[in-house]
Amino acid sequence: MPSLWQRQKKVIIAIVVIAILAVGAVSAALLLRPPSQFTIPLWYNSDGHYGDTEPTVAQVIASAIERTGKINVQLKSEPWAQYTTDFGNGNLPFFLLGWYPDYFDADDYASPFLGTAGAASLGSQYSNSTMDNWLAWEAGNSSSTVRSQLFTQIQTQLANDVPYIPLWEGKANIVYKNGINGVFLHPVAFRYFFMSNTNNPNTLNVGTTDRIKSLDPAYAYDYFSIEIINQIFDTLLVYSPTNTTLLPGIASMIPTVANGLVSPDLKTWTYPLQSGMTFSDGSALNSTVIKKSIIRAITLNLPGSASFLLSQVGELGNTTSTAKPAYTINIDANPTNVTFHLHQPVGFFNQLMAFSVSAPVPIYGTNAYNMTGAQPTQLNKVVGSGPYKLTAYTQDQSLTLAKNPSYYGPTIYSTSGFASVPIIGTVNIKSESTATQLKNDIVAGAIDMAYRTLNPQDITSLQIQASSLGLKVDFGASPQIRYLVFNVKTAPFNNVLLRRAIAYAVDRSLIINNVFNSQVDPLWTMIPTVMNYSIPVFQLIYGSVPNLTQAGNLLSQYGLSIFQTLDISKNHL
Amino acid sequence: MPRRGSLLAYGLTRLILAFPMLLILLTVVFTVLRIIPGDPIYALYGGRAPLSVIMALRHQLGLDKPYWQQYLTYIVQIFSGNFGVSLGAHYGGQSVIAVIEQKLPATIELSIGSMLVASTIGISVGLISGINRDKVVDVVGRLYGTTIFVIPVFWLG
Repeated sequence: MPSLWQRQKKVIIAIVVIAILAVGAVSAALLLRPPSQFTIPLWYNSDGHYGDTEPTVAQVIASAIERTGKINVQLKSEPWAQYTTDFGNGNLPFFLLGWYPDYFDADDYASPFLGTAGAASLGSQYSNSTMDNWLAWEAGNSSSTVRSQLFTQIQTQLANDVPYIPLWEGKANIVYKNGINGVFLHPVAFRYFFMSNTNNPNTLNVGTTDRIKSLDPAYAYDYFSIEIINQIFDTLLVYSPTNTTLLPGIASMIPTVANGLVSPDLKTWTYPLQSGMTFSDGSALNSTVIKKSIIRAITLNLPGSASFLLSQVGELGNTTSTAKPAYTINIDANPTNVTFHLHQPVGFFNQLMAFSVSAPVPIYGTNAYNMTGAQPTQLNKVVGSGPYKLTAYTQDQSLTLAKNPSYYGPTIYSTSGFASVPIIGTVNIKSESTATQLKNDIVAGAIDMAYRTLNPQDITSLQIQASSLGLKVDFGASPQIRYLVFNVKTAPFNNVLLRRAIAYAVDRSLIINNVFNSQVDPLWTMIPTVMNYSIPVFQLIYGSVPNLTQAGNLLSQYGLSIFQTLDISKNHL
Repeated sequence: MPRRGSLLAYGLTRLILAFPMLLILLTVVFTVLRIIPGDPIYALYGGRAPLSVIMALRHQLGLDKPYWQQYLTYIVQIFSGNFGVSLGAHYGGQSVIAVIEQKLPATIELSIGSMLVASTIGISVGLISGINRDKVVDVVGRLYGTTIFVIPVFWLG
């Protein structure tokens, strides 16, 4: 008969074995069960490139997607330098991004996103040969009817393929003292020379959180630098004060096919010039200077500049050497006009001639611009042909614009109701250290105007207090857009069902109301409403409010009942 | 007190060592810039330029070449005086040599001035300390020298 210990030992072993089997069974059940939720990452920028609201925006989007009950969103972030590298290399599968146009044409919201080349640099890797053909066709066409049809097709395809989900379009805002008139929140070019100040007719003091990067038109490619360039330099064509209609600037007429200044194939553009023009230093501004300025911008090809808008988008070519005819810059400088010969048709070339990169700079004389590099942004080194000239500048702190007595075109805007510009003689612009300081200064009256960029809650509070503070708070259309990007070559976002499901789930109203205090507008296509040809395709197809039922159906079709534990936090090509 | 001959040897040695020291420094700078996250070209454009523009610029700047080739190009151009174009925020687009030439007079002026001040004070304090060795004056002088040495120059100015 076994001893008591032997009997106990068998019981213990039996209990241990049973316990092991039980733990193993439970573990297997837990580990091997189908996940109830599918996890996707959502990337956003962490160091304020889009402002302090970005983490909240990402959280709101994540919450909206998670309301489907089938997706878990893992938020991830990076500083801007790494962010741009990663999405440029196609390493981010799903992320937030923004866009501001270079030229005011719907093409600048279509080609960069939906063309194969552009989509690659923006991280979506979208490629559709039919779309490429439509884009080439609309870019090389001047008929609004044809372009309208093409943009309808382009936007419909966008909503079907969903490489991007448009979220919201910005609203520009500005706060200024009563008594200041002529303040236009122009979607492209904000200009001080239309403003008048009854409080102080000769001076306007402005605060901003922006900083100058460069005042060389061949180099500047950031908003504030271009804003100041637009005060100091003129271009062949300029924008109307209140809308995006082009007006003659340095050119005396706007070229069109109808007036014969544009060839029917849209490859030859001739700009008749005003006579007797000079820069603010008195040096001549003529067709040779215009030609050489544009060649300078293209051939310098300064890193980070917008020269590609002239050489590639504008099809002007990128070399003065005739050894490569396909890339040779061909501009004729005649006594009374300048003619551009493009390598391919470009229907919106006039818009490019209104962008700062095409602004002429002094080529001859003591103030001739540097032909081997960017012109230093220093007092007495910035010489333009616009209504203002730079009379004081302290880097990252302040600048002063004063009326240019040699301005050739004070009556350029007379057809728009401005008999002579500039109206205010001196504009002092101060770079504030923080948005809070900007708000404090406008409230205290230390500045007359606060433009870019107040915090949303400060804007709301200033709206409420405006009349008691003697201020006005204006909002205007902005062409800035924000959107989500899918890397459509990377699983799981290579499946359009998932992308459409997320399109159904996204809640724009939450972002607009909860994050931005209704200071932005919902965006239903990649072309903002301020542009021609904008059609709210996402609203038409996916609805104005989230449709979780449809989202759920698509996710079920996508098949979320199997093991879905892909590591897709970041892709490595 | 070193003999005159050894002082000359010391000076020559320091001069000869300057070259490898410079090479080490340049190598460290090159390596650190390749290690830190982020691509300068992507950061410059932030997605606003087509891929072809970005790739063309990377090719123009030699950033598409293997690291060893980039390093050799970097060293050769440094020692041949070709410093390229600045990509930074303050002097972006400008020739680096041009910026250095612009700032050099002020740098030389400040360097000469500070050397004169430092030499005058340093030699004087050293002499006085030496004459009054191990006395209070000597201790104060040495304390002053140590303190000045450890205080960061960029703070003290």
